[in-house]
Amino acid sequence: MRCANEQVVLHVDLSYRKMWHEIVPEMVVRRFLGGRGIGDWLLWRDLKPGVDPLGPDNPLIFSAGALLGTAAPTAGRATILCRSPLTGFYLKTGAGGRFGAALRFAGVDHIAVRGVSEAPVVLWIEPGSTEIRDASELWGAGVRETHRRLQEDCEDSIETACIGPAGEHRVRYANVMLSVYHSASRGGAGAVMGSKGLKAVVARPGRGSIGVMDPEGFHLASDRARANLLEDPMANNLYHYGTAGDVTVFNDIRRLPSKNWQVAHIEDEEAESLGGRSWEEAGYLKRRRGCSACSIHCHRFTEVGDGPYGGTASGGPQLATVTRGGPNCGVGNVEAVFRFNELCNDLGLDAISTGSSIAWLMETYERGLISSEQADGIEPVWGSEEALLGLTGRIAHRQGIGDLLADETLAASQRVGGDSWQWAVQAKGMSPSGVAMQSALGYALAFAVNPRGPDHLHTETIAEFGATPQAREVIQRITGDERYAVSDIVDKRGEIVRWHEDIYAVTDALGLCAFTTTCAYGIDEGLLAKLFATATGVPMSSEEIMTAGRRMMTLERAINLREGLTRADDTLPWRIMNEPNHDLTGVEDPIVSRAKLDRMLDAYYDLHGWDRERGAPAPQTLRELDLEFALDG
Amino acid sequence: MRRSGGSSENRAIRVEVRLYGEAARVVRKERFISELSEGSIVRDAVEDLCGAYPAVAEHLLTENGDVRPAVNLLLNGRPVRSIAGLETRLEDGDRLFVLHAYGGG
Repeated sequence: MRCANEQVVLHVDLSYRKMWHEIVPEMVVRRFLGGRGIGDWLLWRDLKPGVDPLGPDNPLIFSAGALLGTAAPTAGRATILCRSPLTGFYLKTGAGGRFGAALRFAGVDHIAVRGVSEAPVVLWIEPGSTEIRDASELWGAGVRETHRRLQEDCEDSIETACIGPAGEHRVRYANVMLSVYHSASRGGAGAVMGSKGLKAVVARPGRGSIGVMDPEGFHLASDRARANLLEDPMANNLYHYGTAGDVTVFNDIRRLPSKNWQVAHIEDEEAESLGGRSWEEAGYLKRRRGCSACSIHCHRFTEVGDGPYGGTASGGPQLATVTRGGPNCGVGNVEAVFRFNELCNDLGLDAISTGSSIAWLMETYERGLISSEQADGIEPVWGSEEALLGLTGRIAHRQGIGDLLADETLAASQRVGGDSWQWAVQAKGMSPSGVAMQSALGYALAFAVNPRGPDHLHTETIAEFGATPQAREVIQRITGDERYAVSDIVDKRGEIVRWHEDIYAVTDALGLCAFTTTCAYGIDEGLLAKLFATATGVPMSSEEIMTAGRRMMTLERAINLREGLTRADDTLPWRIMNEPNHDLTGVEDPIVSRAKLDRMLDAYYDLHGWDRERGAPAPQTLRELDLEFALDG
Repeated sequence: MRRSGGSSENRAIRVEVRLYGEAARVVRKERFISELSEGSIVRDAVEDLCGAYPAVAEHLLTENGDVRPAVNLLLNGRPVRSIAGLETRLEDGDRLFVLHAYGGG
């Protein structure tokens, strides 16, 4: 039996077909914990600044969280890291499922892939053996078929991380699908995988297992965490209704960014059917699924019985898929959205960037900058299900108009010209998640400074809404006053964002689901430290583990500075900062002005010990975080 | 002037109360129109709702008449906590949302 304190890196050079192992030193484990943390450390070390993200020198790192393979609740998350082909900056993207745990059972905790294979390959990992196998016959296959055919080659159950056609065609927001239905969505890790000719990584767990150093202490901490989650209203919400449960609420309170962020609501009936609360009664929800060791079970499997979308069946959809493929494109038919979700999952596309790119095209068409002929005869009008689904397929294969959209909205607007950049709703070249930032300023700040681009899966500040007693207690602890649990004020957003950054990074590093620490608030710093220490035998206090989180965020910042990031990149989409959205009700200021964002940025940089000019960590900050090795960039 | 709703001729404003989750299940409807006199406050709308549907009171209020910690009251999308709580004054056409935990991912 392997123990949770072991961290083994499998290095793979696809150009030379060489593989070797590296043991991560204990001091590095102590400082970076595992998962995203060790991935950050590897990326800093192995990524040379300025390399082509789709070239052989961009390392592609798969990292299993430090608690994967144990019974720690929700320990199922794996992280993928590289330089993003979409933003040019740091990328980490993650997903649940069972791939990460299977990887550890197979004897590997991290994989660092470099080089390019001349022919498509699969990396096959099982206890005591790693192999590069030919995958020529799999090239072009969708995700489900790829997994099925790989499974046919093995009597035991396997887990896969694979790309679809979108990754093969280097769509800059191609995802990597773990365990068939779990998307490591953002930033184009799938395109990097495709550029290397790597169709899939297979983990055959065999009879592998992961032991913990202090079983009694570990199980006490795990039981405490499970009990807390059982009582948490958000965790219950996620179980009953999934992440898309509250579409109706967001719509009713006019916080549902729609039609490319021009309005904040859709028709009530459409919102009702799009929301996850209605899926069970409507017969779409077939089962709830949990990732490895999960006690929440937010993941859905949905199916459409009959009608034009009959037979559509897939994992999800999650909230982001529903809102970006649905209301953001003016589409209110939930069955069409289920089909969009199935396509994105099987073709290997990030649903946020896909839906956002299509919404941008719809507005560009409406404003007369592009014709139906230029769109391959498709009429990309708001609400067109044909356009939504037809364009999704074209994007994945870079066919016709799909080639324009496959580089996302900023690049597309640069090619189309005119004012189309103004409705390319993006920052750092990436489309944001569908959060009404004008009324959620913690999210706005977090989106602006997120090293991978503007979205919620690096720093989710959901506590700022104060929607549960647990969330208000967190705000009380962070700021000293629960009255700051209000999302549309500037005050204390820096503190709130920084705390959530730290705990999110730790959560990623341990491989737990962020819903345990930053949506539901069932696991706090003390429990995280206890889980890590009892599993690995590495002593850890709550302060030390949060410092490890800060260390990761700071190193990610250093990676981005090395790639040329400036303060100007810490921004929000032009539309959010300049076009008042009067459809948002109960919001005093319907934009996030430059002045407002600058005020938050200054406070945030100061808290971090970064200078205000570039947001560069001061030498003293790096030393205090044991990041001396980053002093010289 | 009595501020609570009912059939008083003093009624001057209409507030739409939207219910979700447990509250909607108990009331068996998702919308309730509270007709109140001018100058009414959020507490009046909540009491009007509980008067019309007594079973919902235990889900929304403590024994002391305060809103339970797990209940969120949003007025036109803003938490009433951040305005003046139950004392927040209502205007004609306001929408009051009554819900438990909400969010997404």
